[in-house]
Amino acid sequence: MKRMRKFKNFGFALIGMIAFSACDDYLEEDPKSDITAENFINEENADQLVVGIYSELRDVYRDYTFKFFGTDIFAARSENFSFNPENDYFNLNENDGFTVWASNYRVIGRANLAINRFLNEIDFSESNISARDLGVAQAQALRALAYFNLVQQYGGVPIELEEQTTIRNDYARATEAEVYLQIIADLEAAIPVLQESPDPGRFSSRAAQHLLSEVYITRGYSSFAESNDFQTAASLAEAAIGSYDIRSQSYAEVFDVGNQINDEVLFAVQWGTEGLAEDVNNNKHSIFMTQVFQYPGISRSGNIYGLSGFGAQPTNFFYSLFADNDSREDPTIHRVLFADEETTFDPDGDGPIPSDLILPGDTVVFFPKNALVAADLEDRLNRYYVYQPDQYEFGVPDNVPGVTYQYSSNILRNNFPIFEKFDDTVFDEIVGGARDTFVFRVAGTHLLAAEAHLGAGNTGQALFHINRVRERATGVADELTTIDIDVILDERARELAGETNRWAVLKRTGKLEERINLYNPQVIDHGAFDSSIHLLRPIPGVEIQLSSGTLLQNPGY
Amino acid sequence: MKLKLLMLLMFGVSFASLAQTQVTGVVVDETNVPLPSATVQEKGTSNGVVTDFDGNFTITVSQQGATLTFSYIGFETKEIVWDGSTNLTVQLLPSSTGLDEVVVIGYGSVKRSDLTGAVASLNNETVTEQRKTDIGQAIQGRIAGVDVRTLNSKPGAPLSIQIRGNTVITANQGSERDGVSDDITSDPDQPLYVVDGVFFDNINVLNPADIEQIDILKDVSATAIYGARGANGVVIITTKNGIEGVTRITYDVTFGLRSATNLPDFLSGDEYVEFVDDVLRAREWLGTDFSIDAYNNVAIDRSTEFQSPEELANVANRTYTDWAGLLRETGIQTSHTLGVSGGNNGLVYNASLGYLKDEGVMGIEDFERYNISLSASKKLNDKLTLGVKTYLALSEREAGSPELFRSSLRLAPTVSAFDANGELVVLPDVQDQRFINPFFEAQGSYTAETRSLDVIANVFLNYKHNDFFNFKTQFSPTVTSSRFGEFRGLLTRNSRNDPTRVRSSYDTRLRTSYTWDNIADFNFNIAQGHNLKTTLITSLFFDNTEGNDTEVRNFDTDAFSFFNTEGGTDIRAFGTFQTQETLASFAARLNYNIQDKYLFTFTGRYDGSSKLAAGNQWDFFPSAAFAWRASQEEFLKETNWLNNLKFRVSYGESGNDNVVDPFGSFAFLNQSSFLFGTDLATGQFVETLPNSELTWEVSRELNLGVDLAILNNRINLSFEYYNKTTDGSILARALSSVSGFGDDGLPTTVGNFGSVRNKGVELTLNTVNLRTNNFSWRTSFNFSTNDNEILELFGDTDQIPISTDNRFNGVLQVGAPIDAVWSYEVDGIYGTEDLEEAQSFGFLPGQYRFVDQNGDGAITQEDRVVLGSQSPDWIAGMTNTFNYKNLELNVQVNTRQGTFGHSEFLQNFSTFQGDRAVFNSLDQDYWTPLNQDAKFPSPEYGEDSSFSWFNTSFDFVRIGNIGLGYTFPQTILDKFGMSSFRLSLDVQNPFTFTDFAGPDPETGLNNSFGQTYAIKTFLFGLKVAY
Repeated sequence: MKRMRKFKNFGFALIGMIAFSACDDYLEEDPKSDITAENFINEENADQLVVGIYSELRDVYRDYTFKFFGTDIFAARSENFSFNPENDYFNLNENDGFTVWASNYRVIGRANLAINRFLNEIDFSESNISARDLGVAQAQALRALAYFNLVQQYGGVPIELEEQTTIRNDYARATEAEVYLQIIADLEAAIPVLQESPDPGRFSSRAAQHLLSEVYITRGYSSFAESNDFQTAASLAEAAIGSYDIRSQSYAEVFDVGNQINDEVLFAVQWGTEGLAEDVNNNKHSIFMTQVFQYPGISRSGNIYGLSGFGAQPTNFFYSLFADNDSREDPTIHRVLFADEETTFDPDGDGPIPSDLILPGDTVVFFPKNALVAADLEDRLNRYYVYQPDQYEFGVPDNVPGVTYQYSSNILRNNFPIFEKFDDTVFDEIVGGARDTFVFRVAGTHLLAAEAHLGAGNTGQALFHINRVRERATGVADELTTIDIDVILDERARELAGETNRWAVLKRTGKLEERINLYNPQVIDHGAFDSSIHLLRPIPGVEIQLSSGTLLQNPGY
Repeated sequence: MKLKLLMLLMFGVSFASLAQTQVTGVVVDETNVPLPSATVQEKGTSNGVVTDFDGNFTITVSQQGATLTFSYIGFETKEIVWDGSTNLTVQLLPSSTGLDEVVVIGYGSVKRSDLTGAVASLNNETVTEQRKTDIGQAIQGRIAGVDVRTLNSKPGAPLSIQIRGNTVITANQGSERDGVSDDITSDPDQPLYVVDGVFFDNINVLNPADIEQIDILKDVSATAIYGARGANGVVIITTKNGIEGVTRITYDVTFGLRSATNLPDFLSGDEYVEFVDDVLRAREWLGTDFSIDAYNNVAIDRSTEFQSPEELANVANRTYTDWAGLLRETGIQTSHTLGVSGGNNGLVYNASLGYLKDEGVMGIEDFERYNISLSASKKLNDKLTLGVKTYLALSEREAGSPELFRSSLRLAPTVSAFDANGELVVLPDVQDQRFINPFFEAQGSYTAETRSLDVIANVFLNYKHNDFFNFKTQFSPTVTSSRFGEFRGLLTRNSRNDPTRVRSSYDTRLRTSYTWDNIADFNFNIAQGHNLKTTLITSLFFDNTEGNDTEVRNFDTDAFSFFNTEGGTDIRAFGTFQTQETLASFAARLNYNIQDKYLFTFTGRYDGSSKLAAGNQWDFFPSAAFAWRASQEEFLKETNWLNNLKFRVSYGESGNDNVVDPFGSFAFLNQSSFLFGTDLATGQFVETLPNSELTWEVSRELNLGVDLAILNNRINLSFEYYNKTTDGSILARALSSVSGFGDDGLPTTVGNFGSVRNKGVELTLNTVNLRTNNFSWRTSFNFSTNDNEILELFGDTDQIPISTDNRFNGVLQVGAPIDAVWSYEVDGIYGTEDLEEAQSFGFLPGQYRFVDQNGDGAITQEDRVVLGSQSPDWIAGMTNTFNYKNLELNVQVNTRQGTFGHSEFLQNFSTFQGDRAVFNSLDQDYWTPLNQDAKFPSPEYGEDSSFSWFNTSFDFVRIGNIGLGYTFPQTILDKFGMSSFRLSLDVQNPFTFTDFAGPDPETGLNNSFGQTYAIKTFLFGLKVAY
């Protein structure tokens, strides 16, 4: 600085000599096409900072890392010997899961920004104090949601509650128990302030109760549990259910694409059919399916199923869970795929095998729930592909001689009933769509209540809640008379597949290792799960690298 | 001519009393060969003539003691004090040293002999010698330490120019598997371009024929006069001016044929069918025990790959389509430049009109450029001169489809372009519904056109009080208005015959800027042999850019192209924006010359930039240089063989703020949106942590130079050594995600964090190998190295991967170059014998064996190492010129060595096919169980996520030009009243020697959008002057 001042004088001498005036005004920047928080945000539009938090949830819920792979009901859509660290835990390392870590911390960062600005920077007039408090409460609830997403995967993580203003590399992890305390504190502060029925898409007090219930349940299983965690969780779940009766809508209605905003949904991350590209870009419909346009008669851009965007498929165990009377199977999966364009199936051009004319609406692939007898199979294979229940995993079934549809003509190697419950009406070839992602739903709250009551030793109440869910599915009241954690896990699989974080649920109930070893084909083939390592996810390596030695990796990575 | 006569008459009448003497004479070279068209001028007057074809001249001299100057390009200018004799023989000596040549050093000029810094110059002759259409091409391979690289071979594509390596760490942060961007204007390590005193980036719109001189300031003592912006070197371009007393009309025309050259070797039809079989075999073999027996026994079914009856018939009949061959064309290049220059009565002027049309070798690629240049200056009186210069360039560039080249090479030879009726097939390959027949794109179904108008204007007033004091003020506005229009019609690979994907974009930019310079020169003759020149400068620079971007999709028709965005229904973008930057500077330069032997230069510039954080906007950049002309010392003066020996040393500072965009220190709110029910709400968030400390990045450079000329200037050598350390390098520092910033990937903040060193040597050697009466052979050779190394990143960090995704192979690593390539080291390919070892690492026979650097039994990020760098270790160029009588032959060669990186071309065209063998590919030596010594892995499953397959060297040696020229003898020209007439035939880029499998090693690093063939041009040229 000293040197600079000296030469400033030199500069002024020059000015004097040459008629010319310049001052710092000339260098002042006046951005016209951008805004800063200081020159834009006021009490009238402060809610935009809260909306900014919600929009980051899209990143959180469009990412499926660490949610479905490596569980009992979902596995890799590939050969059983193929490697996929998220699914088979083989070489699972610090390169995986960056989005999980980063997107949740972005939710937290934006929540911290909003809370700080609301409380310390923006002048709210008296009449707007309730708006301020509501904004802060939403930010706290979303921050709690993000911390809960993180703590389930990583254990203790750094707790940051302030807007960051300096470059830091000293972030250090809190203990897992401390993170739970922080989540509970945020939610307890938010619940009394949040609205019970806000606009769809806003976090409600019931959504916060559902979340807090799950937080208590998860802590209830842990080594730092407090004695009444399950009891508290049960009360919160029941509060969240309130007076809503899930039987007022069928399972199919809940997943009707035209009925995405409905009373059973406590919280959803929303996408739509208009707005900016980011508003019409959910990939939810593209999970648990295959490249169906490879089937004859199914077009690439005009088909009703969309494109595949995630390399997972349900396990055989998942398909086996549905009883014949379970009304959820039909809306959950497609057992028949239909053509949408006219084409002639004629794989060899012209040969001894006859060709087949496919018209829109014709069946293209059929996945019978129960294995067909040979004669029936042969008959159908002259009209379309048929894959028997034991043929969903990777492979090419043996050709049936003489029929039109030879398995070897299908270039897809994984043929299985694809998911229907997330079917979308809008999607494009980068797998974007308009399907909302349900985060909490009352049927799920019932299953939380069942789990909480079971944990608290209250079997009768647990049975009440699980039977409520089953009654809608099967029409049978008070169906179950005994209950254990496996019963709940199976029911969750049927009711909530693809919605909630299956991995986290298996982890908290202590059933992860047991169930993947039974049902996940790649894990069975070459799984490398080690409960001393893999119950916690690796912190992203780049985060460790950016830290000055303060951020420690989970053991084993 | 009439004016001249009038003048003569007037002088004759009014000053009849003065002695008026006709002086005649002849101008010859050192071998007494007459020099035609040499300029003879009475110094300090407008009185001048040109010699005729025999070197003869006649000039009327008014008084005894007048000084006559004799000048001729390539020769040292000679001044003779007229002693009254009426018949002179003047011998000019060749000036390969160029010691008298004037070097523009920014806000002034000096004689080369007085130069203390490292400055290279090219005159109009050199720039236009090979008839290149772009300044970048014209200087490629010509100057040591200046690395010029074509980024894209499409017509009108800009070139990258880099001087003495890269100082900007951020430059690598955009690099990815897709290669580097070809948007040079956003390249933060580009040099500072100064055209007639104006900062101007878009130099490829200039017509080389309009360039009088290009001066490249390389070391910091030379660039220091541009202070804050000179750290990457400065390229000063001076456009032509008239010469008083010499009226000249020139016309320059070229006609050329452009064709694809260095064609990549693709699979022929038969080879492709065999390749598909190999892919299918590998697929079936995967389910076996990986034995060679199993491979020999697998059964394959081609019907999954050859799906349509037509395709099967083609395979059976061996009827193949050579897509690439059908789509290649010969392009035509034409250019015209008409120039008029002259001056008398204190008014000098130069005007030129240029036109260029340059067609690509595929589809509708095309570049057209119109240039108008006008300059005039008038001596208002003894002291005041007023001048105006305007330069206008209108260009229109059609880049065509970015997919055409790729589609033409990728489509399988087994599918047909035309049906039985000779009509174009819309979907040639039923197996891939995205592949629309590329002939539609070749016919223009995809258009991407940039039209821009660049205007550089410049008005100056010069007040020359006396020899001691001179003052000049110059105001230079520039305007660039450009429009980019793109239409992706229905039958393009992008739209895939789906109207909802038809896309129209229309973007406009309006950039206005001005530079206002005030320059005061003081020339102190302190004592005999002691001269002090002082230059004081103030400079203001203002730059405003605004524009709008529009993108609409879903069109029912292709009829509108991009001219009616309202014709579509799906609006994707419709935004406007504005940015502005200002720069205020004060600078001073002192040149102290002691007896032409000891030369000192002190330069300092004090700069303030609006882009930096308030309070950190100003900094001072000083430098000092010293040169010793040893050959002027008494003890060497008598040494006959030594013509020039000069030692130079300089040290100084310069800066760079290119890295920072305007408003770089602000924390802006970013907008997002979210749906609540059906209500769309706007959200705001802060994406980056603002840095209130942001300031200049500063380079400090030591330069040592030696200039040597011996044996009658026949051997001429310059050597430079430089060592430049850049501190406070501005880079985007990655922040922990825990900070909560960011939108996607790691959040960053921009600040002065790193440090980089560039060091190297440069050698320039010009020799006259042979010179006889009729024949001469001259060689011009340059060689340079640059060693780039990151010295420091931030904090304790010594390694920052560009991404943890294996596909991105960039890294910033202390001790490695900025553009290091960081990936897995390949140690062959696993064979069937290595099954167990391969599987333990998660691989299979036929996949790469990577070196487990840390020996932990697994291949992880830790095993990635720096494998090379994208920048060359050394570059060199050589031009040999042979003259026999009036015939001239030149051969120019250039090379870049030690380059390495990811090739987008290899990624697109390697034999790796994933789960379907759909595409044609390069004829590569790929692995099968029967060919285990292969260079590349198995085509079916050999992909590795590190993309090692696609890392390659881009080294090459290229014959850049072979040119033959014939200058008609003056005896013939006189009959037509011409002063010169030259015919030329150039072959540009005739030969390339490289191991790179792609079309062009020079563009190989770049991303796919500009990919096309390297181009060879046969160019016929004619140059005439009156």
